[in-house]
Amino acid sequence: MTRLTRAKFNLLAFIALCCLSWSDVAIAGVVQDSFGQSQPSQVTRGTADQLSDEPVNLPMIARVDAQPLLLLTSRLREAMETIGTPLPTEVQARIAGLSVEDDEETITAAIQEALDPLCVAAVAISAAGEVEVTAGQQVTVEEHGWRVMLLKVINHANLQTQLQTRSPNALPIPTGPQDDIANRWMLLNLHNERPLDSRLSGLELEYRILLISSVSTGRRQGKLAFSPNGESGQWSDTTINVETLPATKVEFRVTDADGSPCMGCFEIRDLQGRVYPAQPKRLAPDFFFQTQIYRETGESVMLPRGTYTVICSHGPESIPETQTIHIDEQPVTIEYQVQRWIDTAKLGYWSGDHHIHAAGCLHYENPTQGVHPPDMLRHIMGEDVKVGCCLTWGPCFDYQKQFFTGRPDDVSRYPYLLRYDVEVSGFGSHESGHLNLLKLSEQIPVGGDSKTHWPTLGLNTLKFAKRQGAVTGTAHSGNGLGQVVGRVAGVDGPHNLPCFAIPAFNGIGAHEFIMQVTHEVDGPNGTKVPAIDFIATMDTTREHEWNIWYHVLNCGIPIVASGETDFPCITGERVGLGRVYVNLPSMLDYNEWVEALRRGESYVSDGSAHLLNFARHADGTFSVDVATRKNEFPEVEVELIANGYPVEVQKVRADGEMRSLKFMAPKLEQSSWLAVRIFPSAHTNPIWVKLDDKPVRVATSIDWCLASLEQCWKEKARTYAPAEIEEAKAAYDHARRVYQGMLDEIK
Amino acid sequence: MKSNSFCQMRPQIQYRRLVGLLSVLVAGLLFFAWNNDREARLLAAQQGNAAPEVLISVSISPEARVKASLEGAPRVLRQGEWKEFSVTIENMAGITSPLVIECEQLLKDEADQSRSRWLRIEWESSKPLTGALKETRQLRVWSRDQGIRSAVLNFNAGQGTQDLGFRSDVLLSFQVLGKPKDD
Repeated sequence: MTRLTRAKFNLLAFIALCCLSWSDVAIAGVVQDSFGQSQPSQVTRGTADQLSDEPVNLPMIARVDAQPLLLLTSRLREAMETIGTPLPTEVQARIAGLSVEDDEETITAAIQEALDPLCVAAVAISAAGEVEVTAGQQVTVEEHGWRVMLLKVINHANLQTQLQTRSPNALPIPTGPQDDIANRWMLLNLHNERPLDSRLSGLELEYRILLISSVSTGRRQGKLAFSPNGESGQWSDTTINVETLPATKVEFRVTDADGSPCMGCFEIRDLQGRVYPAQPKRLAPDFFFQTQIYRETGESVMLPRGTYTVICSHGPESIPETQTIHIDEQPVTIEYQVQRWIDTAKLGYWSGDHHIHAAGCLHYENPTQGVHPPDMLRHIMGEDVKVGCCLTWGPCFDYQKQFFTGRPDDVSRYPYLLRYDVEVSGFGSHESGHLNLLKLSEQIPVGGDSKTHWPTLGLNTLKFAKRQGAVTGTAHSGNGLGQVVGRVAGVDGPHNLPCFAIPAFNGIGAHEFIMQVTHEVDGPNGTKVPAIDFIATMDTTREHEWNIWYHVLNCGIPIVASGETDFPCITGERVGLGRVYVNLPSMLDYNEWVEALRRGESYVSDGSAHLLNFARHADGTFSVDVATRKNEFPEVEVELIANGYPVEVQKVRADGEMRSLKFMAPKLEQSSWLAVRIFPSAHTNPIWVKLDDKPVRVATSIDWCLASLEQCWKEKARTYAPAEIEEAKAAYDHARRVYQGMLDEIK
Repeated sequence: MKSNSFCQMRPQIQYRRLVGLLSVLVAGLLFFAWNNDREARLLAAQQGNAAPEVLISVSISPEARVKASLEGAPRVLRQGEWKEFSVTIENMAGITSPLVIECEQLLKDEADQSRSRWLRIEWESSKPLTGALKETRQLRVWSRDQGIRSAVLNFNAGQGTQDLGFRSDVLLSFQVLGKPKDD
């Protein structure tokens, strides 16, 4: 092995060992061990939820300006919350009680009294730049885990540099000499991520976040060194005490309400509110930007001794349950049987999220370019999303494209189906509005094997997809529809639905959509089919996404709504925050599910409200089965709407009970579409009612579509490649003729 | 023909004299700089640049999520004086909505004496982005107070476009020097 390759090997080995030690998680019953070099030591056990009562004497500052100190402390509090280690409640309360108008000496003293006991050390930088480090609180850390501590920085030099840390005990083991291995037990990391500024503020007093881990149990002493800029001669150190508590294996036993095995969602916190496993050190399948993890029977997590609260859930149809567990030396099992307030699949409605990602946005690009199918499946199972449409898009496209198979991924476990398709985002026609392409048989158009040769006209993207029999729709539809540039005549409805203001069409939502809905393109057999099938809803401002949908429906164009999350871009909280519930009479099959979605045999929901079996009866009345469960509201309004305006409203208790509602036959003056909604949580797809066999034509909405079409062209013409611009002009001209023809029809 | 003219001296002598002259100039400048306080020198160095330095870079992802990051411009202001910085924008979504800055530390009016607010900015909040991949805009900053002052600037390109995990905002602290008469 050459020196270079040995160095590479050592580096890779080090990274691998670090990864092992970061992941204190056991998947599928396999417990990941820590470094093999753990040294025997006498173990004195404490608990993870207790701090030392010993007084900490760190250098004090008499007075600094209150404005920056309070703002920096507020961001520190947010940073601690973000990484799953909130400041203790009493500390938060003490800081919250301080006002910027108080005496600055009082504020300075109060903050130090509150935060100093949480500090592992203080770094004092003199006006001349000399550094002195003082040890603070003893560190108690759990085996395989990371302890988040504070670091006090006294900065008389007003430096705005990036503080550096190092320790001889945190040197790499793989490259170290044999006789120093035992000393290299520490892992050390200054946390400079958002919402913090990675550089010092320059204020004489501030606090930073330091993460410490140990790869062996027992009591240890170690060195901590700091430098304001990392330059030699600028370092100073101190000795700290670290006690590493052995971790205990905690297994899970998870069953659904009917006793069948399922994946549970668990948020584990100790009594100080700290999240386990430590978020800053997570790798897939646990996502570092979430507080929860997903586990099923036989899987486990390692926790140190202590008391924990565990919030257990299984998607929005479950009733969350909080358990308290006490961990000692003996292995513990968390038993969780899901309690449901509704099971829509048993009622024939199969939930899905047509827009989730395995790469980009909050996902990492290292050590892998995004995450893999088993990781995404775990998340859709844990949130009880029956169909997860995992869309490959711009970031990591060439890595993620390998997972496209043209069918549900092999990792799918009935009734949970994961399928890879494409969102045109970050390439091709993305600038005129992103497109979700579902049920593709070919992932990439002819002419290339990546994302650089795609058409820039969205309609051409749809032609590529529709020739294959794909199901197509918009993405994050309300994006770019918030700013107003004009208005046409019309009466705005409740919730500004419908609304006759003309949006700017300056984003990436349902934009070219206003043109696309007027087009038919070639289907798989050359037969003409609508270019676009659905409008994505439930992940952007509801008024904006539903408004454009209503106006298009008011032109008699039968576009259906689907529900999406755009995980983890619009939110990384969890998959399935926006959903579509598709009615299938028997077993779940992906192709049947997505075709029923295309036909609108579905409703959209955030999971807290359900509108099943919406129907029109022979006598002109309507009915719907409603169930909604909301902690914040005792009851909700269920509205029957015609052409976007409410015609009857009924109140329903939000207690989770299923109720059948009947609506009287509305007095319709013209052909109409009717739907039921619970704003902003749920919406059915429309039922069309023709009077005198005439199509739905609402003149004010056609005006709105025409004006919106012009605004869209004004904004998006520049996004079309020269080779497609004439085609684009013709496509918009076609749309103008269609809308104008509708107006002429009315006249 | 004058024999002692500078241009006609032997190259070696010319070089020595030039170096000597430059040395005197540099020494003088160093002396001047040494006698000014450290903060004033920082500000002077900053003001000496022709183009405003980049304080913040904004990245708009293909999904139109707005992310802001601090760049290397020295964060030094003079109390009561406007200071101009550049903000670079990478617009991967090609959107044309305005890029808006929100900040809770902005002074509400001339009479605002709240200690939590200290900042004025000038920024074209209503001007739409061009849609080009790269553009640069100017941000002017003014401080009422002296000392270290911190602010959080949040960037968005319309409702709900802020990136997650605090990535659409920047926490930045300025070193605000006293007015010249106070130096």
